[in-house]
Amino acid sequence: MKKVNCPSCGAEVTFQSGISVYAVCAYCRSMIVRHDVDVESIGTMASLPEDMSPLQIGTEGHCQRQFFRIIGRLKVGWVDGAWNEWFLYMDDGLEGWLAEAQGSYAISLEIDHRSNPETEQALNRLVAALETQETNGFQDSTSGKLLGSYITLGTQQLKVVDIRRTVCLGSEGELPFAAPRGRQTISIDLTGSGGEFGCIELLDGKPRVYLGNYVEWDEMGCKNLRALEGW
Amino acid sequence: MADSLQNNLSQSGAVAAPPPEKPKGKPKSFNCPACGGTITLKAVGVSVHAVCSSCSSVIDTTDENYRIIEAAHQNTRKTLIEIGNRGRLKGIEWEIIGYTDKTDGSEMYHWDEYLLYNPCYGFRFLVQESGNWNFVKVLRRDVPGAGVSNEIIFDGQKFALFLKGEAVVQYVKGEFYWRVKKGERTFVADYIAPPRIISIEKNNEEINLSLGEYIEPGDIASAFAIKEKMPAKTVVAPNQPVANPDGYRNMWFVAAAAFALALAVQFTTVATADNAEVYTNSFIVRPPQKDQTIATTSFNIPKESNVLIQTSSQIDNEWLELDLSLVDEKTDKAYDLKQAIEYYQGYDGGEHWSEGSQSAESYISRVPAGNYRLLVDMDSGAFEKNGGVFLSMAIRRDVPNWSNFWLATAAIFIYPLFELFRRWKFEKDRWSESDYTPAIYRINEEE
Amino acid sequence: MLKIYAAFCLLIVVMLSLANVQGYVITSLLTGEARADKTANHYHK
Repeated sequence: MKKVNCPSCGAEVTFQSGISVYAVCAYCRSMIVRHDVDVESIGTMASLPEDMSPLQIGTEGHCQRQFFRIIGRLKVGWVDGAWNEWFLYMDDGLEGWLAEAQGSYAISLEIDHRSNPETEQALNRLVAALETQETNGFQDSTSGKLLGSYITLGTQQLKVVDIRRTVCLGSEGELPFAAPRGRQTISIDLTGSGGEFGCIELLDGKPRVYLGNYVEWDEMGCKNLRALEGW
Repeated sequence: MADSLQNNLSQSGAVAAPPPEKPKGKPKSFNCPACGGTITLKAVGVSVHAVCSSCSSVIDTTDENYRIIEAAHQNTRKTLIEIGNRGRLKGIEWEIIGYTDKTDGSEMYHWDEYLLYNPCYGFRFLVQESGNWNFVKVLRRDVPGAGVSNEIIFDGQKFALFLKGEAVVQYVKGEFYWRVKKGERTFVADYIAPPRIISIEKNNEEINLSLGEYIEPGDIASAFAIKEKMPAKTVVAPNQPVANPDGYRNMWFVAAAAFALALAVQFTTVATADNAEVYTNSFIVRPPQKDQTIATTSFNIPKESNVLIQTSSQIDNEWLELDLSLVDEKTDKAYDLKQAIEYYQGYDGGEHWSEGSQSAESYISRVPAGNYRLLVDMDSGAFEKNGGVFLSMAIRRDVPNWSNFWLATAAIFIYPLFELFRRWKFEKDRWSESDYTPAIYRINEEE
Repeated sequence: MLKIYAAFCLLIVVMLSLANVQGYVITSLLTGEARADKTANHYHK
């Protein structure tokens, strides 16, 4: 855990995870980036669009007996809606994410895509195919071939179910990368026959790969939830 | 600032100081850009289309100006469960936030789809068609072969293809987390493993899978406090579960046990039967004596039991009729019975044929102990031909006989076979709406 | 319903036992084989 002072308002800003390099000051919403020797403000984060999420920074839960605490949020928008990506603090220091989208939850950890040559090849093909895309919707024949195809991530064969252009609608808490509004990625969702979940995120053509599972609300046993009017 | 950079990353999960209080999550209201009426969103941040309850215009809620997708000037339709109604199903409280009326490609069949919302548990659907209800959850799984194969496997269970068709959105109200549009057409395939059903909806590139479970209208009515009468069931639903499967199974156990018991009783009877011959003799009757009554000598029946009278005669292309009377010598009680012995045979173009039998046997039930004679009167076509009749006779008592057992078996299995038929009929009705009916349920189908 | 059926089965088995022990052949009874309701008439020794 690392505590710094917000360069804008002086409030205490904590980096709970060793991986976090960015945080939004909870008091003045200044976006702070952590460098080796100092912290720097790169602007102010506008308030996030409202939602009815029961999760909040500080919510704790379990995934397959692994404890997690939510320490950051990325609100992601695409042409047909928005979802939350909650950044998790996990005891083993891994980069974990809880995706909350359309009422479903998926927890995933980043995996090293270079360790599997099959995955690496598939990723290269994917990146090459997507680089030729101009439109927002991925409705043409190239994506038609990509959707429904199978990619091996880790040891799993997963099916590509979604390809979207995303834009960051806002962020809060701490995150492992800078997340100002407008940050764009291409996000590819994959699903397995046993409820496995995979996500490939392309930022400026560079992939990051996440692998995990869909989870039910009850499985997570969340505590410290956000208050919701009427519920 | 430099001091605070001496960091100890604590692995014990020490928590940071809490941020300032954030306001509660709450529904979001805005004014309909078409008519000015108030639209209230429940699934804030997730819903993308909302229908104005005043004018029925469809609004894009992802647009900061609330762009009108489809303007309308209609009153909202009334539905069995209204937007905003809450109900508890399977221990979870749900709120109805959306409704669509869908039809199939021919626009003949309608069904209702209610969108249920719970901020923690997400979304579910309640689908009502022909009085049958399903509680449906989106399935985020890859199910290989879905929409293509005749059978898919999910959760270790086989699901059989029931139908392929189209779904067309006819009417919408409330809010939706996908861009629902009136007139939108999707390809649909349903697979069943009663009480479950897996539905595939495909449009352009997107495939959506969902898992439904049959739910009784009574459960919906009590969950949502519906006062009106629920729509009556008019067909057997594709995934409607058979009634009382345990009762059906137990019935067969009872039948098997009863059959085993009956068999044990019968084996005991057979093993302990005396099966004794009490009289045997042969007679030759010539035409002059044909009107005389033959009387056997006296024979003793020591214990009450059944009696079997066996007769045979070497007739050939002749008939023989016997009037028998078993008479108790002491009480004069008589058991009368008739027997017919007929045997015909011949050659039809080199092939031998025969009809009838050269022997006959009859049982008499429960003959008390005593001394008896058998009186025999006979008539035969042989007498006309001036031939004699050779009659051979044997009388036995306590003869092991299986007919009682077979009657008992039939009685035992009447009800199970009736239930089996009813179950077959139920499955036949289930599959009558499908184009993929398995062969055993296609018997008796009209072409 | 199951209880009624089980009782019925029990009754059938009991009836089978009685019929067998007492020498009834039910099928013969049903096809009208004579029972000694009448005394022997003109068939005298």
